Amino acid sequence: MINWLISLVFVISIFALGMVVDYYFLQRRGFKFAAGKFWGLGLGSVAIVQLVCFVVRVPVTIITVEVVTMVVFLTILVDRKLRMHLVEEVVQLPGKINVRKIAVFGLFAAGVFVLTFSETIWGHDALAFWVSKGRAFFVDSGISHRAVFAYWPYDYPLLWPLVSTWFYQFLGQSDLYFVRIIPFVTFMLIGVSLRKWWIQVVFFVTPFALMLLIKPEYGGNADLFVGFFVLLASYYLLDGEIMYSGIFLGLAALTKNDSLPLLLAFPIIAIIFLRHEKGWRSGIALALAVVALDVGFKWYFKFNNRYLDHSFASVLAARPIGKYMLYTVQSFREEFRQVYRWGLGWWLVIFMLLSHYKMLGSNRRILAVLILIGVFFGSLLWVYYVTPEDQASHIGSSLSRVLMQIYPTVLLLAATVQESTKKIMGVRRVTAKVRSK
Amino acid sequence: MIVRLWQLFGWFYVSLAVALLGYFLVSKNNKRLIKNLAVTVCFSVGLYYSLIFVVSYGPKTANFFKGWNKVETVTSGGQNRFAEFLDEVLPLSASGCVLWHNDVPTVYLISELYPRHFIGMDKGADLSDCKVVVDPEKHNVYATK
Repeated sequence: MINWLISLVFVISIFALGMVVDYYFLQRRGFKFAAGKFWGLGLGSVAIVQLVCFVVRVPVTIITVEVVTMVVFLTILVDRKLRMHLVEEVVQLPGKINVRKIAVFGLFAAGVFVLTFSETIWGHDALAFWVSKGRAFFVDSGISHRAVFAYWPYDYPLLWPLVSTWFYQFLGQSDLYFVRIIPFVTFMLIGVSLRKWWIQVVFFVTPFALMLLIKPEYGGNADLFVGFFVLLASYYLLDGEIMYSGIFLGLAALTKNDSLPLLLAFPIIAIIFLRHEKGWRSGIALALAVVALDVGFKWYFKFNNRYLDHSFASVLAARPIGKYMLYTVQSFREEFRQVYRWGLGWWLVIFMLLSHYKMLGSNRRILAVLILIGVFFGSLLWVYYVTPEDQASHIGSSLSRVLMQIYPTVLLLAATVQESTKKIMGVRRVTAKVRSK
Repeated sequence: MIVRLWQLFGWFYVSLAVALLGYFLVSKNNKRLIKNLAVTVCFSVGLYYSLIFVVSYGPKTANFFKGWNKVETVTSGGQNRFAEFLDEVLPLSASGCVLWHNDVPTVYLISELYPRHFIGMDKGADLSDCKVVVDPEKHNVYATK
């Protein structure tokens, strides 16, 4: 029971940390409640705190974790304005919520909770590096050379391992069972962050989304976190809050190298399409700061990269590029129609996007998200071409998981184009009525 | 030709093309109907396959009510107990090899033995350089030197 309580306090502390970071550093003492944003910023903050601890040679022990948590909770208690905002939010909550929807969501969450915690993490990738690195950092009280080089591939980003380390310090032991609370909350917040109830429902009943959380072989992987961060980045891009997009794309790249192309493309997209938006300069600056952090970390440890340390001339000579790219495209086509994994999720996305094709080009924010998605698929084409493994087996073992990194974002985009069209149609109808009068 | 196209696209893409064609041909009022129908069908199919997954997973939920210790033992096939035993008997400076056994138990034990330096080894490989050999299959540990 005590472990459940500690896990709950951990979850609350991550929300609180994200809220404090947002309030003081990003909103400059402004307050806008968003559970997904707070959770994302909280996860990112614990990773960055540990990276800073490594640089300044401060061990990450239970004392470090307790001090940070106490400071966060005390800040909320001491800062009257922040406390008032929070109380206001809680007081307004009953008026905002739909009891029936909350009840259904609660039942669903309870069911998924039982399914998730019926097994512990038991998958190769999680135990070969993700949570194992987290355990190694826990044993070594922070990032150490020994732990970094204990599990190959060494160059994998460390956000998820560092978050698990933080949790282990909280719990006082490394445990593959209770650590599942982190992907569980992340999964729920992905759904909640999809804005419209009908697309939330489509996400929650996507079989593979559930599998990725519940199945022990996938439960400790990082794909769900990447999906969450890319979704938040797109969410704020569509809202015109470019600074948050830069931050969350940065956190996605600190979770998995797969998102690095998105982060690198972001400044270019921002300069071309988003120059008139609020905070586009800080968004670019923060994204570039994460690129520098990532490159600096990899340079310090002299990491190699399986996909970049190649003789591209020999790859080009050995592999006919057209055939290989076509094979990957065919794999996408085949994967989209695996209904036992995706339901008709991809069907709906393609339908919504093509049936509202005019909307895609008419709005710069929507276009920017669409280009990010294009960059994601383009980078996959490249990775599956230069992969040192056999292309077919690499695609077979990873494509479905990798697609989950972009799936919440494409659902959000589909919902956005549909809702935007509805709004425009509504405005036109009203205008026509006024004219006829 | 038709057979080949059907293999490539099947009912998934054909129905998508039909729905799109229908969407562009019908009047504005019916467009909404098609969209609602698409969302409903999508939800139903997703729900159907999710339920298949959940039902197939159902028996495992009994573990949830038995407590987390039991869950860890069941999922790991007792490897967690073995790891605890190894933690007791092996000094922190120990190093050696873990025999490959269905991948996951091997990487799990390597992880749990940290900071001891252990590497995975094929069963048929030369183990003469391994000071300690851990066999996840038989829950056995022995010294070679």
